[in-house]
Amino acid sequence: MNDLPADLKTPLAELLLALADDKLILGHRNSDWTGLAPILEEDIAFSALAQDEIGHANAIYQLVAPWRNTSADKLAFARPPADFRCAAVVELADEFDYGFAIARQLLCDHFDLLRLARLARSSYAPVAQLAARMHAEERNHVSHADEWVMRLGHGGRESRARVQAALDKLAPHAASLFEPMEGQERLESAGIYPALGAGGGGVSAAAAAGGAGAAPDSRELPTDMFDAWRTAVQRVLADAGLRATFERPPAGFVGGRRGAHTPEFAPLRSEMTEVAAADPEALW
Amino acid sequence: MSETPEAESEMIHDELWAALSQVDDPEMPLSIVDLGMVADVRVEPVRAGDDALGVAEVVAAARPDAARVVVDVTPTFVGCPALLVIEEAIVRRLRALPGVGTVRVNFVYEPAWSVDRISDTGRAALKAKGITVPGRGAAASGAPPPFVPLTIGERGAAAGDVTGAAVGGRANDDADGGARDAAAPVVIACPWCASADTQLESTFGPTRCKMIYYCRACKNSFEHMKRV
Repeated sequence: MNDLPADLKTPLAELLLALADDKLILGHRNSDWTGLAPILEEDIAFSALAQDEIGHANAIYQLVAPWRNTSADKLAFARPPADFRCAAVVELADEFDYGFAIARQLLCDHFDLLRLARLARSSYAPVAQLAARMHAEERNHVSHADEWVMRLGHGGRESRARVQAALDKLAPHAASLFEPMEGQERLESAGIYPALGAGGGGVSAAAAAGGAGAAPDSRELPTDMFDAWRTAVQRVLADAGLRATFERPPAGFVGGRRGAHTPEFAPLRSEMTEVAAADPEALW
Repeated sequence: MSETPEAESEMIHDELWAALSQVDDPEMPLSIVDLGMVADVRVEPVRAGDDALGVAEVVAAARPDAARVVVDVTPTFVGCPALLVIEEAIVRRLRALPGVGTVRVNFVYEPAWSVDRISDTGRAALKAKGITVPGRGAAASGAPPPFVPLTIGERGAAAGDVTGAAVGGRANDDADGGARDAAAPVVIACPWCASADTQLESTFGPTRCKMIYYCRACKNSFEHMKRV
């Protein structure tokens, strides 16, 4: 399908902006590590993650911009905070704690892998094609996060204590990723945002999450997205000797998906948009 | 001797592909054609009064012989920063051909780029620069990304400076084909000395499509294309 039913354009734009905004803000946080990561390989890794995430965000903004009669740059740099759809977990400042940065990658990268697997089987071809390509790249992010969580968990006392403390701080915010969005059920029933394991090709949830586990694992993941995510993340944490408890968002939860952001978001956004705001009409 | 329109259009088509073969990826020692980035090239007629025409195309349409060339490019990585440079290089090179009015570059994700799209010429060019490429079919194998065998631990906790439990699980398996057992370690031979005694250093390399390996035999590092 190349034509989108008119009444689904708004919910799809919301869903795609949540995806792109998560990636833009996470990518911005990742870029903080350029020049400052604990080892050179991780300096390069976080710079590459930033490049991927911001590149993905740009490609998604390009898709959404015409529907909003705007441009990708304006979506990234000229929206008021309440129009952003990113989740709290990408907004939190890591205070240059590498354990925190890695623990956040674990939660966000596994979520993105599943979200992209669903979108890659979308009945709307432009989204499916782009998401399939991003999904292939996201597998590398997931294996990077899995490896480092295990490395820190099995490392020294300090690395284990710091990554555990980070998980304790991050776990309550993971629910923000799963905040339901306006019109999401309609996208799901129209096959534009198919459920895990549903849709064409008989692709299992485990296959959709390919490369998610640090060890090859043929056990099926649940088809419910939260259950699938929690299962994948808990497998890595169990292998790493770490612990965390995750809950779904409580009923009535209103967060970033509907424009309610953490106190950390406003300063992040002003710093991120500072150059663009200095000359909004400049050509780059 | 006059040519038929079909023969003429085929000739233009060959010239376009030949010209694109002279456009290199700025971060790689090979052309965008050998890298497998060019998905399609076609010539569309330019008609004055076409609403979709930009200023340059309106000017071109005033020339009766001007053709509008459309190039579909499938990016190696979605966030590749070289895309804009490549787009400019394509436009510059093709506009230098006689008869070409305007050039439009579309970035497409269908067909998706994969390492399997690199031509034999491209593979040879990469190897000459010390960049190895997974065998054909590797991208479709679906095996998990390779595992970096680095461990950390507490200083002075044991005989060595660095201890730490081995981070278990995966073999260093940048699988070279779908038919192979994904769990079996696959050796990436050193492009400099052909030794099999190599080790993955980092899955993130100098560009998004490459990883860094180290050869313990000749003590050189080399780049390996990701199996994506």
